[in-house]
Amino acid sequence: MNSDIHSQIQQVHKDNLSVLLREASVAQACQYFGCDKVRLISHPTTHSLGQVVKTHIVISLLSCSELRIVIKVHFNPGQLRRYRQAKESDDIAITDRQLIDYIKEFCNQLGGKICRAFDAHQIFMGMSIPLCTRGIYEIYADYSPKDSYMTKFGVFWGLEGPFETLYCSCYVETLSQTCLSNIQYIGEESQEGELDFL
Amino acid sequence: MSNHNELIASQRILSMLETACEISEQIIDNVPSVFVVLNGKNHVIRANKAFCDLVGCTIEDALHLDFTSLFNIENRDILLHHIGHLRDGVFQHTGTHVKLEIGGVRDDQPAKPFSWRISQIEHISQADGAIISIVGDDLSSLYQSELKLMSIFSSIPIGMMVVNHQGTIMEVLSEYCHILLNCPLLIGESLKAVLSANNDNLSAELIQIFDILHTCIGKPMTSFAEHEKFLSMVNLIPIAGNHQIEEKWVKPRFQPIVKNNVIDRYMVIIEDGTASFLAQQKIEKADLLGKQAQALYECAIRDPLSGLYTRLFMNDSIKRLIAAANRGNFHELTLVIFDIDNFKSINDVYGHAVGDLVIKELGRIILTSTRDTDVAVRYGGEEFVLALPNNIPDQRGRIVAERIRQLLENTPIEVEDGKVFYVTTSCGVAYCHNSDTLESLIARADKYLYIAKQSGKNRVCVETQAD
Repeated sequence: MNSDIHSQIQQVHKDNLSVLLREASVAQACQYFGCDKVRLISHPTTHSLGQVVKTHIVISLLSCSELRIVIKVHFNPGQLRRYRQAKESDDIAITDRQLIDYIKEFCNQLGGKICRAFDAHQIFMGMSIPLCTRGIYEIYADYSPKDSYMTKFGVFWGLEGPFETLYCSCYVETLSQTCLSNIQYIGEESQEGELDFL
Repeated sequence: MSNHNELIASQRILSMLETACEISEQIIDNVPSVFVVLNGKNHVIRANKAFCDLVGCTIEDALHLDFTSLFNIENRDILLHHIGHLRDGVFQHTGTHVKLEIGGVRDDQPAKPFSWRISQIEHISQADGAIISIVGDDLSSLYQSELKLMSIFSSIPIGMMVVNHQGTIMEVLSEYCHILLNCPLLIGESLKAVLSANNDNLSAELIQIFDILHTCIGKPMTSFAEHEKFLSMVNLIPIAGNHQIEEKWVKPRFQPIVKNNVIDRYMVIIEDGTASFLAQQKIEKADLLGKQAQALYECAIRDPLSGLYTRLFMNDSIKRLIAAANRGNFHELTLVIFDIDNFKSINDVYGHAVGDLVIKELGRIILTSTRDTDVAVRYGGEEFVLALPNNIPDQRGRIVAERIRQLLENTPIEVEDGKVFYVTTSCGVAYCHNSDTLESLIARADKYLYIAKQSGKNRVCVETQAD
């Protein structure tokens, strides 16, 4: 197999994985936020991968021996406050802590959904607890693509819905090409629905 | 079970780190200084509350705000220039930060003076480019304090200014300088020229002063200390007045401003010496008037020919002596009357000029033979009165009278052609009694003078107890 064909196959694998991640996030957002009007912005025009796009980031790591995926959800507490406040009584004051926990849970469920998607391909990943930090630290993120012994690449997309726009970014590192082959997102039945953290 | 515990422990430590990180971020959020981080396009990617308060937005709204758009065009250009230099590494020799003092945010808001410290963060983001952080401190209160201080400076009647090594006025710290130096525009002017205007006679001193100041520039303080005494003794310098400002007299004092341990500039303190100059002038004038009055008084009470007191002075002074004698302030008061013998003949034979010479000579003899406490008076044409207070009853009056008589008798009076002649005097001596007045005492002394004249002249006739 010459290198061109190899790289083309690799690109197909990366594209498939990118689709999986994006579709999983859309499905999870619909499920988590309890709406079917979540629009996927596959290639945001206003921002790009690695930029500081929001004030806060929730990070989670999915990992197995052959694959590591860092998932980041970029958000402003203010946008979620507006979304939540519209659903709650005005008397209830929503703290930033609650809003951060709300997105942490979303990230957690998104990670779970991605894990399950890999489960279907016999790749069993573990998942970290989601952690929150400020958006500024995105300047230290390294999304440098690599196609040698290890394959590394970044994916960036947006989710538009009643919660305004959330941005997601992932950094995928894999030691095995095979684990990426034939990867695709298989839809799940809606499970528990929206969780109320407030 | 062990893996599970390790997982729990790892999760806990991660949670603790997350909390620590958030606390640090909240500290940055709440620092009173303005803090922003900019990406390569100078857009805000992190801002704290102080920045949001300044701009009037939330932290979320501040994100991606063009920081430079917060300044007016002029300040924006300055800011972009420095940020550009920082990113290009122009300031690397002085460090990776630059300090700026530029005012305000936006043209539509009141300008606030700010001190900005712009630092480069070494990390370069792949997506956001070269990152810089900016810390800003509001200098409004500092400026207000400065303005307050300046208004105090302006109101105190002292001129303060800064001159450079050439003596050019660089900074005027006190508005009073303009009044003191009667010059509406001082910055850029030569202080020497301002001070020496209309003062040709002072220019030599001023040249010397400014030469010293110029010499000390670039040298340590010790070189200035050598000249400090001279510089402190500068005379008051007159400053010409006009229809609005009166003429003033000022005194400049020079205080070196040291930079890097050498004298760099001078702080000049100009004191208004007008009041003390005018007071000194008044004192001198009063002193002169006093001397003139004293001279006039001396003219009135002292006979210019004999050098003795006149009758005008005698009335007061001898009356005071009689009163003092009556109070027992001293033991005896003797009054002597002298009358030059044959004085009319002298005038007739030798002329009035020689007569005057005789009077002058007897006056000199009386003055040299008496004490300061004695009162010697030219009583009439050729008559003299001498009052001698004495604490010891030793007939000093008689002795002094006799001595004067003898001295005159032996004093040659020179006339034309080297010829000389001798004159004599007769004396009457009376002692003051308790009931005496000036008139009664003179009358008694005159009585003994008459006896002396009758007894053949050139003698002293003294009142005795029996009389």
